[in-house]
Amino acid sequence: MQALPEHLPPPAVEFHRLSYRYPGSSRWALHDLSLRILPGEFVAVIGPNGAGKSSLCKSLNGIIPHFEGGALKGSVRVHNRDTRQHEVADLARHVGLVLEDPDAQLFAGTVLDEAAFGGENLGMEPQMIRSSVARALRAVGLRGFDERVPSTLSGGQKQRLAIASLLAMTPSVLVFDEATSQLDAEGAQHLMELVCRLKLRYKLTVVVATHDMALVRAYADRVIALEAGRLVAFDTPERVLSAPAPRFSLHRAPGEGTRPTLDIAADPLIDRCGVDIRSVRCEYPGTVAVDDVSATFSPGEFAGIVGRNGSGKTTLFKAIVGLLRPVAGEVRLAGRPVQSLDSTDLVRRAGYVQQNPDHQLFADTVWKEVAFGPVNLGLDRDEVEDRVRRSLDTVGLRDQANEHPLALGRSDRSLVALASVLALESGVILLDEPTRGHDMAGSRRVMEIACSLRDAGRTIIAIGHDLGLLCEYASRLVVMDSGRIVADGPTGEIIESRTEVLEAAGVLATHRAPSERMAVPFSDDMYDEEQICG
Amino acid sequence: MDRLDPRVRVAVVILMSILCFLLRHPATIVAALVVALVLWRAVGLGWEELVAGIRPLRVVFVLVIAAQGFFFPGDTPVRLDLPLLGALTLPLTVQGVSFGLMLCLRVLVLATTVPILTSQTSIDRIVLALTRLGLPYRAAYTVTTALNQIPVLRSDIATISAAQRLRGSTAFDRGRFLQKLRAYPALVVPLVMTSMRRATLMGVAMQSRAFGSGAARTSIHALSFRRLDAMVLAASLVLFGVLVTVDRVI
Repeated sequence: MQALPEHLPPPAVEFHRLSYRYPGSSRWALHDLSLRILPGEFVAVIGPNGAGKSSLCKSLNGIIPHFEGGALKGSVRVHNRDTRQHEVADLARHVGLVLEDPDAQLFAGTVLDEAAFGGENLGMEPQMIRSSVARALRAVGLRGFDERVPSTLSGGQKQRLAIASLLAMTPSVLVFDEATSQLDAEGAQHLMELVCRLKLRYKLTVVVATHDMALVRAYADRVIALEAGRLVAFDTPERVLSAPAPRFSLHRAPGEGTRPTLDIAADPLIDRCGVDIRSVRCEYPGTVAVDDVSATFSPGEFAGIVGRNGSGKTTLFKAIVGLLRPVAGEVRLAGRPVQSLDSTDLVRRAGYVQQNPDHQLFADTVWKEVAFGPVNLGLDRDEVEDRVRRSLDTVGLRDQANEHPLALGRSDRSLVALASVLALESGVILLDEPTRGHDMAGSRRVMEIACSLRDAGRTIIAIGHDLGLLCEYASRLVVMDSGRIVADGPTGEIIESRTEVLEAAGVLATHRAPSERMAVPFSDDMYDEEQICG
Repeated sequence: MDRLDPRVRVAVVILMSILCFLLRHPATIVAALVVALVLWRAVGLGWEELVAGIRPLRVVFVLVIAAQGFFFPGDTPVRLDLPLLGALTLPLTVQGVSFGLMLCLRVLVLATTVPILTSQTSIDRIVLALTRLGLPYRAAYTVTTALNQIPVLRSDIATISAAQRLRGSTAFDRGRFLQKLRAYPALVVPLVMTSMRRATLMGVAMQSRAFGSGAARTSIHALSFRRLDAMVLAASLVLFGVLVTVDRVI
């Protein structure tokens, strides 16, 4: 092993020839990784799905190998502690891990109990826990939230609470495993600004696994690029990433051979199936989720809907497919009110791909999964087979037809869920964050599929958080804010002349490089340096 | 009520549960039910929640009364004097029906007692109480975390059945029993898989926050047994004694 140059401080994290294999897998998820992360560094981890980003994150606090099992070669040392020789609980004092899913990492009854959980487990004095919890909650901007129930917080607040609950154990390394991917653009930006502030203030070492290159460019000191478990680059963002693309490139021409061509039998109903939303208002107990929304979507149109989490996008989708009955107004599909349609009529008109594929996969083969809808429609066997084959071809999963859907990776599971809705051959297709869980290449594939469907005369409406990506494919943009449509028009027009609306709706993330200004905390009363580093 | 020592809550709930099985006279069980209802209000629960909690039990109650009336050993058949049809003899015995009614009353007392444990207090205080009363921490936390997950499961079920309905499945809505049964995997498999994925992640998150560290666990909630606690506990014990005695005498 080469010796460190004299002037460098001892590394915060050191990987030495680390290889790791999950139990039951023959593939190395991480392969011969050697690198050093310096104290106070902000390191981004990038790479396509399956490259090993998450495994790298989990190896930092000992979840790999202690919790996951499997085979580990080489070593990971955090502040000179070998993770193999220390329990996860032991490492928790030094390394905090924030996960992607906010709901899975909060389990206590109140914000206070959530944040105190770690300190209690470590057997800290109650008085000390209370003061470090108070400081941590203040540091993430959740002062006064002590008695709130975590499940009632917004996505961004939940992630901040997750951070606070780790900060309360005063770790020196914070690790984020795709922690912003379920947040909207504004939420992601706020979270990363907070992380930068905390990093500068407490000299934290920060490791962030992400797909968001704008975020990497703005904040990372160095970038770890992984591919199939191997380190392909570890350098500054300027050297690892190619020059930034223009912020919004409109109407991307179809790449050669990337856009699948569809052969779908002509169906007179489907061919003229548009959506007509008339003054729709939807309420949940205590809140108005969609407020006086009117819009018409026509066949052959691909519209994107953007807005903050909680701005009413998904609720609008639920109203379109009749899952939710508006308290006022109505939705018509191909001219008929949704509420008057029976199941078959509804399904022929509108298909809805929900965010989480795991909420619908249940069959023991991909083929059967995709056939479920057509069989329910009472189609004859040949037609069912035809549709399943076509749908699987469209999403490119023909070869996986006999595999178990639940054994596939996250992005392939999403594609199975998409195929299972495509097989219904509905006139209108609603896509709720269709690129979630995909890497860039996968996201583009999903968007190309949506374009093919549009070209085949379908009405496509997609909710998305990646405005840049949506702009490349959707010709129309609908912006929602607090339950209302605040802008609706050709994408180019909205991007060019309605910037202030986009900004107010929280869909423009402007990741800025951290400045000294960020070192100013929410409050002066923060951790002592000894406490953080000790 | 949140100021009440959670150990007292646990004790009260245990006492009420014992009463359910100990009391034999309808009058004392009704008295116990009244006590439970008073406690229900005292911990700040509303009547709507009570109705919502009991409503799903209706079918069970009818079935229990009918089954007991039919099968319970007894010799007095139930006779109804109906104005137009005249006397009608049902294939149920009075003894059976009253036994069934008693069973339902007991279930009702239990159903109104258990929510008292968790209302208006944090799960963590209950865990603390259970561990102070000798239950291992991991076991106590497992139980309460599971309770915390119920709303999440409920929303999962709604999402999953919506997804399958939008794939043309009508079995949940108006299918016959067999169709419903056949459609069951479409609901249950995603539910189990999502829950298991979430549970694994939660395991990761808990370990990352030092769950299961060798250190003796501390708690930010100090449990102090105060005068109010003593009074509530004493009152419960006295009431318990009175009800049991009265039950034996009448």
